[in-house]
Amino acid sequence: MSKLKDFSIATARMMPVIILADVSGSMTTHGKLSSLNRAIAEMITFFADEQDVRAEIYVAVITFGGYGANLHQSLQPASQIQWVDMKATGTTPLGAAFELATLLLEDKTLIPSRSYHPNLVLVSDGQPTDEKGQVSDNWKEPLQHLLNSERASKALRFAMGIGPDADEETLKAFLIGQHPEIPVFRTDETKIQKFFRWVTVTVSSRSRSVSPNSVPPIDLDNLEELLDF
Amino acid sequence: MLTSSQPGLAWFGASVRGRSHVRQNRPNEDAWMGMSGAFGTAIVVSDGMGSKPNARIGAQMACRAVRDSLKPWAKSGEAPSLTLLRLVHLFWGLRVLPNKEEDSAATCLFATVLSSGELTIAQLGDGIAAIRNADGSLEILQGERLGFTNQTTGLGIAKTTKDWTVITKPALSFDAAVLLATDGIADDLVGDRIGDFIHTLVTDFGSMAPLDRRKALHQELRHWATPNHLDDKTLAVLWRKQPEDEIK
Repeated sequence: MSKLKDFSIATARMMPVIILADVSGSMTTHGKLSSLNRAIAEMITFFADEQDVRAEIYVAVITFGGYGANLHQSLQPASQIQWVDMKATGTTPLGAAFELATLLLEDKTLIPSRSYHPNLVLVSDGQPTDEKGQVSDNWKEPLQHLLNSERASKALRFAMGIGPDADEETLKAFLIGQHPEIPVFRTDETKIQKFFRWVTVTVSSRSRSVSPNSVPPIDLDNLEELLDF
Repeated sequence: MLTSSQPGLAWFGASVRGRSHVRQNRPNEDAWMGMSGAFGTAIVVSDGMGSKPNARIGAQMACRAVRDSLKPWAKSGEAPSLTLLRLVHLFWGLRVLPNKEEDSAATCLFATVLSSGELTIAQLGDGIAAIRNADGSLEILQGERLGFTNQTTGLGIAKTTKDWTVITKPALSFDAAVLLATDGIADDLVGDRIGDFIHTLVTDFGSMAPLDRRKALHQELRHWATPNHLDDKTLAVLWRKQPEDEIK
């Protein structure tokens, strides 16, 4: 009988994946939202089926739309998530989403210090606005707070702009200062799934790696060969 | 149990290859060492950084570098602990040659009781270095981690001695024990049970015959209770017993 069993934590180390999803009214056009819902659900299923990983992958989804940011999916092991589709309406209050993401990442009771570096994924199809729907810079300060905070700053960040109206400046600002540099993924509604496959492969590789905090090189052009969904 | 030439001091350690390295047919990239001599007594653990090609040698050389450094440092008598750390960097850099230091990066945690009785504990990088005092109180060298796991420094990464955490005490008191462990163990320990963990190691494993203890500890570490544990696991314990005549 083990003499040391009682002294070790009975849960696996966590690798969090936090998605900041734009659910403003414009996401309802051209099937963008339904495509995004499918892609996230597929990613969660893939993570849930992962075997032999070093870390248990947890997923949370923060939506921003309507009149603010909302924790649509609380941080849970992928294997326990019953995905509920997001709905879209209203404005693009990105600043509120950054604030909520920072709160979540800095909460040591939610994400213990023994966790691996989190993954933060931003998806948007437009320009950030205030809660009244006016184009606004009020996202810049919350983003700086996120990028400068002790724990949130350690997150590996990915960004996807959907369609021609997605604001390049915002997405680039979200990715600034990472090594190696990760480009903004620009796409239309038909390639949303491809972006999430890229994120999936990267997170999956990290969760198996002997050094999970390093970023594995991923060839964006050969994703179909890497994944067999 | 290995006893020191110093009254009441004893130490042991153990290291096992993690499941990840077993599956990949890679060696254990942790190392540990216990030593006693004219300088005093010491234990060392080191975790070679998994992403580095020469990690295993880096960890083994960290243990030897501490041994190399303790002899001249102890001889000098009055030299500060900073000098000891500089010597560790110097000897480690020489020992990993011809490999590059950055390819051999490894954490380094050690505890030594000099022949004068003075205790020094030092830590560079992830892992745990802790003292359980005779009254059950616990001192952990590095406080609560601010960020996340695996964001470590080590020999081959740290450019100055400022990244080390060091404490010195006039003595290791009777019935006190020092634990050193790599992050394969440290990150999975229940926070409020670390003192009990050290006490169990000393009382249950410290009293075993060396071969029995090695077998029992390897069994425990290979069957670590935390799910998905894949890392190499290494620990070393140094403690001071009450002299038997005083117990009687």
